[in-house]
Amino acid sequence: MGAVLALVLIWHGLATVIYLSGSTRLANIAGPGTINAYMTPIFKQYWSVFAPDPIHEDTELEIRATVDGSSTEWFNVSKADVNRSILHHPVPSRLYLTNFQLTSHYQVSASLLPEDLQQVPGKSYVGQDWQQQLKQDLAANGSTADAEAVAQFIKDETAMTSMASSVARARWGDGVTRVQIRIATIPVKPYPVRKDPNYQVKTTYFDAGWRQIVKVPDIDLAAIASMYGKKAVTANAGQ
Amino acid sequence: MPVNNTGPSHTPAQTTPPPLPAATATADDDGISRPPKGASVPASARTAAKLNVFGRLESWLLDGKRAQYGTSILRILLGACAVAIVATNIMDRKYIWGTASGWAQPYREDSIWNFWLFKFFGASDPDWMLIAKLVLFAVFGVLMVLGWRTRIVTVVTWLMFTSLAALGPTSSDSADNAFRIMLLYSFLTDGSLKWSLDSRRRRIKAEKLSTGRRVSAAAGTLIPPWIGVIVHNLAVVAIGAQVIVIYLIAGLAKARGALWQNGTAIYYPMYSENFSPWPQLNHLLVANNLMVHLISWGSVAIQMLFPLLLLNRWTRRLAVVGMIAMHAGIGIFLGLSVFSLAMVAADVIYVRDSTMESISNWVRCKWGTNARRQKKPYVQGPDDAANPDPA
Repeated sequence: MGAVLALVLIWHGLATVIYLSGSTRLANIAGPGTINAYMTPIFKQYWSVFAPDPIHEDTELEIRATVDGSSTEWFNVSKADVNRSILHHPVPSRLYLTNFQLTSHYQVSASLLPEDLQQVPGKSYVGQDWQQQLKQDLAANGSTADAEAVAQFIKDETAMTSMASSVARARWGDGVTRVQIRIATIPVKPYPVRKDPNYQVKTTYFDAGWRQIVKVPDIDLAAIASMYGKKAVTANAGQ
Repeated sequence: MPVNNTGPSHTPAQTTPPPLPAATATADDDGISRPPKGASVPASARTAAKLNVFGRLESWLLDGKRAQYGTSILRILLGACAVAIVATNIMDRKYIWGTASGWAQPYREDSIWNFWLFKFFGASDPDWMLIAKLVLFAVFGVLMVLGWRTRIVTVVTWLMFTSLAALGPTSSDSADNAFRIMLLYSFLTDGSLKWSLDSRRRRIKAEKLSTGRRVSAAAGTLIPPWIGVIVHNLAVVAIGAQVIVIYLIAGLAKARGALWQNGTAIYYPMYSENFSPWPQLNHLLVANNLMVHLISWGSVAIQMLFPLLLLNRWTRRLAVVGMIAMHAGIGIFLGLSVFSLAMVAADVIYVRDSTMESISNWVRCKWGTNARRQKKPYVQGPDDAANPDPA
């Protein structure tokens, strides 16, 4: 009995180390997929945080919308999140993380699209059947890896546009017909030039195209308006 | 309850400290060939302790529950994490988990957590129900802190938290992994040995028994006590090994980065707005060039060297104190408090019971005004045998 328990522990330890080693050859040592199946979901883990390099830039998500035919200012969701849940909060809430991860999923999966589909996220899809159109444009003609990348992007695109649409409707009202997002990457001044007042960091933008809004069923827009509405956040448009 | 063998003949054995969990984790490969043989083992294992590593291993695993304070502190701090998670997110609950989170549905549909066990929190819960469930989760956190029905409360807390984390597919990070995994290990330990309502209840029961007023026979007789001991001790090893793995992976991953190598890495997150609850404080921390390099290199060094530092009792103290300091820094400066708390909870597993007793005695002497009646410890593991209770 004791030996069995000790064996279980040894198996668990080895499986954890192999799982974290990231080596595919080792991962299949106990049969294809066995270790992964054992580790996920319950022991799913990832510890390479702030590595190989720490975060050295701010990522900001900005949203604007078309309301009654004209375009609004950019609304900086990340700034609103920082002010609402991080700044002067000894124990910050998960709000910033929630939008940050969505943003980073979106940007990563867009960058992982096959070479010939890289320009798709930047195109506008504004018809009623825009999701169909998008899927058609992304129709993978390549490998299964490409198909996976496309499927991941469609999932992230759906979640992102659902979120952006909800925030836009909460902030600008029922007249919203289209939304657009852009992701600003603002580097921290490099350490060697940190005291140089003339050094200007260069913000880069990832621009997605316009999207027809997605109306998420039963979503509580009043709750979102209390966080991102005009009364809650007056002016913090992205510069 | 662990086997009580505090006879004077065992005292000499105590001059050789039992092997650390760390040492056990690596030596286990050999240890398995000698299955424990039940209650008679501890005595024979003790003789073997002087002879070979297998015997020492057996004795470490079977002679009594190890890290009684460490596992109790783990339980208390994990409970505090649960309370903190609810307290800090309750204002934003609708957007993260509740009625305003429907945009996350594409992720929820093919989540790896779609399993009946993890359905306590649901995407379609109305707001009042989400509040009620969050409050219940926090209550379970409080019960963990108090150590009331520890095992069942811990496993239910684990189930609830796993379900909550799954509900916010983009709201969960390594902090949740650490908390979730440690909760599960904590469930396998007997985290109620110190500072808990459970231990108080058992002590009262034992006192009644010893004064002759028969209460029902001790519960838990269905499972032989040595199984409880070995499961507890193996879980202690698992926690220790997991902590080592976390630091090794984190340290090795950083060692490849140019910014960590040149010693300026820590400056960058201090100027990142999402890691700056107190920006001025962060900027102050990295205002000094020497400080930046010390913290950057120090963080990588202590993580990579952590397993080595555990091998000697003095460097082990340095490692544990250093890690607690590092996590305090992460909690205060980067605002990752819950992660820090969960990791500190796990680090404490490396503080030996005798050390904890010295610390708590010192504290009691220093602020001894609330010296209550001398309590008889209800459990007496071999670790305590070095200074046996006068009673």
